Amino acid sequence: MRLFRWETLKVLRDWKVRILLAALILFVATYSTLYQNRSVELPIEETRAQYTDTQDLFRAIPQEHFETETGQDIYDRLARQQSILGMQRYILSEKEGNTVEGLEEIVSDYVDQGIEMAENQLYFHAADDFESQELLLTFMPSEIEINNRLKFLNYLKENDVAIDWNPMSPSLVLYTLVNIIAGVFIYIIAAIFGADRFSRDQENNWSITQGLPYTWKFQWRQRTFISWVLIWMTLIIGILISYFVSRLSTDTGTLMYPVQLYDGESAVYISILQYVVMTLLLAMALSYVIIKLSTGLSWVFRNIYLTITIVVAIFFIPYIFTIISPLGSWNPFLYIQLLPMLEGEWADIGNVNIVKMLIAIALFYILIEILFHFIFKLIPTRTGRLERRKN
Amino acid sequence: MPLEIKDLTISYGNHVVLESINFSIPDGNIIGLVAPNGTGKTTLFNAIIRFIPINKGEIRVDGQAYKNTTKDVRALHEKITFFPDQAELYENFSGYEHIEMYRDIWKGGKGDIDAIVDRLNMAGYVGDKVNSYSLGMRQRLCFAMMMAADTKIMFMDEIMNGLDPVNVELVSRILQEVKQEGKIIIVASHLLENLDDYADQIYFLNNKDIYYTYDRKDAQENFIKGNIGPEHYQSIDTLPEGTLYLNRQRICIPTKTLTDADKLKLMNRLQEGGSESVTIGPLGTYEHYLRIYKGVES
Repeated sequence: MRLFRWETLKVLRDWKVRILLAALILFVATYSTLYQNRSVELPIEETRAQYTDTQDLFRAIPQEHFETETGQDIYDRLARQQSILGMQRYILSEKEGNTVEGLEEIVSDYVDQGIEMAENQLYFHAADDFESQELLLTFMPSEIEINNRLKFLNYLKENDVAIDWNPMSPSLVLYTLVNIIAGVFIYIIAAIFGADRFSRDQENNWSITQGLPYTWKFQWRQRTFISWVLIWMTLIIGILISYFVSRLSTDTGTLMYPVQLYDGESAVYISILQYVVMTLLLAMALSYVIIKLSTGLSWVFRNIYLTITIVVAIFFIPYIFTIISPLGSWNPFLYIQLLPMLEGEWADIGNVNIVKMLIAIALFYILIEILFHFIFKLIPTRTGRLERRKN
Repeated sequence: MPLEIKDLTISYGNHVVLESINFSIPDGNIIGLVAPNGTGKTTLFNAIIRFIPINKGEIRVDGQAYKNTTKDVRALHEKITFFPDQAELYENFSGYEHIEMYRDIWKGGKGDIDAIVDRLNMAGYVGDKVNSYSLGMRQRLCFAMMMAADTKIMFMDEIMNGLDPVNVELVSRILQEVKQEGKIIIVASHLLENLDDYADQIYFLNNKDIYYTYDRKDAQENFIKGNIGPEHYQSIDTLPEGTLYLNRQRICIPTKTLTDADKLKLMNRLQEGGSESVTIGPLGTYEHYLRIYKGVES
């Protein structure tokens, strides 16, 4: 603790750090305002497009194809789809929730209707004896998408959550913001923060810091921890400000709203709150390792640009596996990026999951510890008159 | 012996800087370390504190050997502090914070900073940021940091740089006081005559080794000392045996065989020869420096 206070003060007195923290909080805290100025497609517009598609299907499919028993069934279901879409358009336009007060008997419930629509769509996929099935399916989502939609609607039903007519609701903005932070953003921030934690001391304050009665490894760990705490304190404050600012302007949505998460090969739906907490915890764990590496490299290179470049380049390693095989879900480099795993981009590989990601992060932590154990022993630093001691 | 250096050898590549250095310093001693630039003073400090690898030798403090292991180096740094370079202070920290930092790190927060500040007459500026300090103020701050760390062994490299005569005297006095607490202080300085004010022994580095040790406690023969040019030196006849003429400027005449009348006569001759001051006393660090590094005419 006797060194911790001074290391923290050194970081906080650094103008570059102050500017970075200010910029970070400004970006994150105002994200909801920026996001709400974007033009996005509202769910009601999507429903309107689907309504038109269904209408076009009636025109495109030859009338005689509807004359078989299956054809008649499909005709009835398509008609029902169109009726449902019309009512869903109305429900969304009223912005009251899953139904419209006073008209429950007429417009029914958005979720129940959605489940019925999804079941109809699955029926279309199964109707192999329908002559225009191929044409019909070009207007339909894939079976995987329909099953995911069913999971989504069932989640709404089981948890009594209303459909959100507004894609800019505070909870959905929060979801988007957390996804941005968990991507390359956290790599860049971690790289910048760690990149001169040692180089500044070595270049400007060497005679003060070289003789401290603490090992370099101890100082490295402490500096990593300080940067990590500062980054995440700023990010969490920024996220909270962003969320509450967006709640001031919009009161729709709920943190219990479902979002998709890939667990291994299949999608599950969890609440935005669960997703945000889980993603932030994973990003925190991953960022600790990145800051550790960046801080360590600043000892080796004493060059901020080189350190940032190397650390950010590591982020792109998983893209290699879109070209060559990763040789299984245990490849730790698959987990260098958080979002592809959560979004199911590695679903084809099979069983890429959060537990394996945590194991991969622990493995990277140990590898970096071992690497820098030798680096602090062997690599001379601070070029100039004297060679550094070798431990 | 609290600080013992045995057979210490340092080289950079094939270039041997220090070879087979041996010395031991008991508690409560100030050692002056003297040598021209580039002779290895700072290297010797860096080697003892293990900032640089040593090729051969042993470093012992209080009888315990400190090897080149992480554990030993860390333990060694608990016992030894190195005088900071005034250009490497944290510009956006105050002087007080620098002193507090060293106290916290080495003494775990124990120690009276205000007493150090008062002792060094720093109260007027110690609360300001270091970027507003003059060279002398910075130098005093570095000294104050060493006082706050209060380690058993202190290495003071070029401690008097940038200090005015009043502060040179102040720091010299404090060094003597600190020595009374049992500290071992090694001072590398180019203010040679000032070293005679506080150092117990002077180590002269030459030819990769401690070439000569001048112990000020030993009984010293007195000399008449002055500065004269070569033409006047040649004109003085009947100089006693053992007279030294150093760097074609400094003359030191042993008084052992001289009568009082002879002494007076010779002192007058030196004054006539252009010496602004003529003194009687033992050979000091300055004379030994000239003798060792500039050569002697006898």
